[in-house]
Amino acid sequence: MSKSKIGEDVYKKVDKVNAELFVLTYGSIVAQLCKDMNYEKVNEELDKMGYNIGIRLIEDFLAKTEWPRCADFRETGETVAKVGFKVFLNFSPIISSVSDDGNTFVLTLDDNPLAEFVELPADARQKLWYSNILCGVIRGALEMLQMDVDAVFLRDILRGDEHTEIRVHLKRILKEEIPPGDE
Amino acid sequence: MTIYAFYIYSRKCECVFAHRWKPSDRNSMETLVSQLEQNSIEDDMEKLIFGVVFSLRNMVKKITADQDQFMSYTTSKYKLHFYETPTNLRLIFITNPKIDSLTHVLQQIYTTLYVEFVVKHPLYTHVPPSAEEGGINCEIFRITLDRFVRTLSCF
Repeated sequence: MSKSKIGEDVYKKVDKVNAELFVLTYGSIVAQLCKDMNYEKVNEELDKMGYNIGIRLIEDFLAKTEWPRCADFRETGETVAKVGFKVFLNFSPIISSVSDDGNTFVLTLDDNPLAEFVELPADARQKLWYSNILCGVIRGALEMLQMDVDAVFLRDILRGDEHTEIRVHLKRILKEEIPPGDE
Repeated sequence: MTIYAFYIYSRKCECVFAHRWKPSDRNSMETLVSQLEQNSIEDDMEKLIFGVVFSLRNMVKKITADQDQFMSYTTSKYKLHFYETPTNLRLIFITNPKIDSLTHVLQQIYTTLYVEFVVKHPLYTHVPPSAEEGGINCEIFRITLDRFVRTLSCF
């Protein structure tokens, strides 16, 4: 069975919340953060919130899909795009420009649901990554699977770019913890 | 009465949850309470179990492909069932040696009980504290787990 098919099937089974409620809630969180701090800090804060979501979400993901370990990072990328995003956000980013060593991939999220109804004020356009929470989620979820990654936004339609893109780069595979006093 | 004990080990290799079932009068609330109090005592036992499981698992992985997992081992007195999630959470049952594999039950416990009650708990941390520091401190998880295991046909 293809990955997109599995994503589709699991998506059908899970409980859902109203998309508009979700999008507007996220919007008000970001708006409030922007009132409280400057845009660089907001990006950081969203990433941190995403990270905390990611480390839990991965368990939920594994429970829902019973997904086995991926063979390599390329497959991980496909799983994130076709299954992960599909199950939780009901859309699949296009995965592109996988680097030769397979340690970097770019997700193109042109129909990013978080960005619906959103228009950034002029001064935020240069600094704010509105959907930065997604980077945090990816980072947190993959860290739980022993992968230390960097996830950053490269471009965003909200800023006037052509596409919305996240680059995910595998820094290293974390070593498994071994029991204390063991070699 | 064929299921003796249940353990969860975190990715930090610490025992974070233990539950034992006693044969006598197993429905009374007092048995449950006394078990709760005893849980922190047999610490050595928990470390020994983990040592065995960890070594076995690594050996199995070395011999075959990466995806392989060992599922149980049997001695003349007991059987140990093992399930590990991709996030390195390890769930273990210790039962009577005659029981069929309970790996799927462990998996079920993970998906329906652990994720629902522990992961979705507001105070969840991605590495639960070790048993000495309280472990997974979620009473509803313990109670539902206890109830769930008692409904198993092999219990």
